[in-house]
Amino acid sequence: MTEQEFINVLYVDDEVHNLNSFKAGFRRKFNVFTAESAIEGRKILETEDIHIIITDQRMPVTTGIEFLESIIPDFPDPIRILLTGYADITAVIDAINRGKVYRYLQKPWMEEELRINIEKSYEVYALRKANKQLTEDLIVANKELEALLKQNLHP
Amino acid sequence: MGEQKINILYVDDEVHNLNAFKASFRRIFNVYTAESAEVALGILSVESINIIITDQRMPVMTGIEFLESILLDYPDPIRMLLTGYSDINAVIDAINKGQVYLYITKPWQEDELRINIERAFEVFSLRKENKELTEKLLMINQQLEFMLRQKLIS
Repeated sequence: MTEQEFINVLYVDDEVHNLNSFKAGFRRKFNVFTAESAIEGRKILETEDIHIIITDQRMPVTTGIEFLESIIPDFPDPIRILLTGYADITAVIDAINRGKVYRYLQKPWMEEELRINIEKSYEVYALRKANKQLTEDLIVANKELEALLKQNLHP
Repeated sequence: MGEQKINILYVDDEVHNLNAFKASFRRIFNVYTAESAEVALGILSVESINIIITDQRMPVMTGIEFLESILLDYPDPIRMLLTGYSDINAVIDAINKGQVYLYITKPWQEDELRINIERAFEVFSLRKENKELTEKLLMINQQLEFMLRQKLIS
């Protein structure tokens, strides 16, 4: 599905060397945007059509979850992935619900695993969007059909 | 979505794992369990399964081998694998080949597994809905085209 399309990924992490290794690992497969903070991350969201947001949880000013929670009203569609050091999910499950985190991955991430997760997440993004569009198209087509039928009945 | 109960098939040769899974999830999902690939095939042939979860280490057939064997006859259920960390490379290979959608490391945590089942079911539903919507739109467009052509002729 839609493999020709380039996936726009925003990666937010306060550690620059993480941003750089992410870029080095993925820039050939995806359109990679990086941000060193939540504020910068939001700026990118405002100008680019981002499909997948990946954020580190531990950042100095705003945590990953706080960042994800804060952007939900304005940017509900991108799929959100959280990178966290916690091994125990029950500790973060509430936060995961609040930030509508689709996937969480433990740090340090494995390149193959992260790539697979980005691709799976994009399938969901693309299907949600496609189904919404198809539903709208179907409504329009149905109306056209109805109008034509009516015309045929009363020419 | 959400109204529909999710049909899950869980395959594991260890009976106490099957029981623990049933105890955790039978109130939220429709749970079917199988002690072997053979029993699982029997269930797949009569029930409409949405999600298949299988243990990787089983005596006759591994989980990946089982999932690979059913791919042609049952391409639609979302396939999940339960595995130890040591098998990760084999798992990633299986994911890349399309045999496995997602893996969960053992021992599984109830919340984590539940969330992953729900996510997987969304994918199942979205794919199905996409297919159905596309077919419907195609049909209506054909009808429209037919009627417009008739109109031009008359």
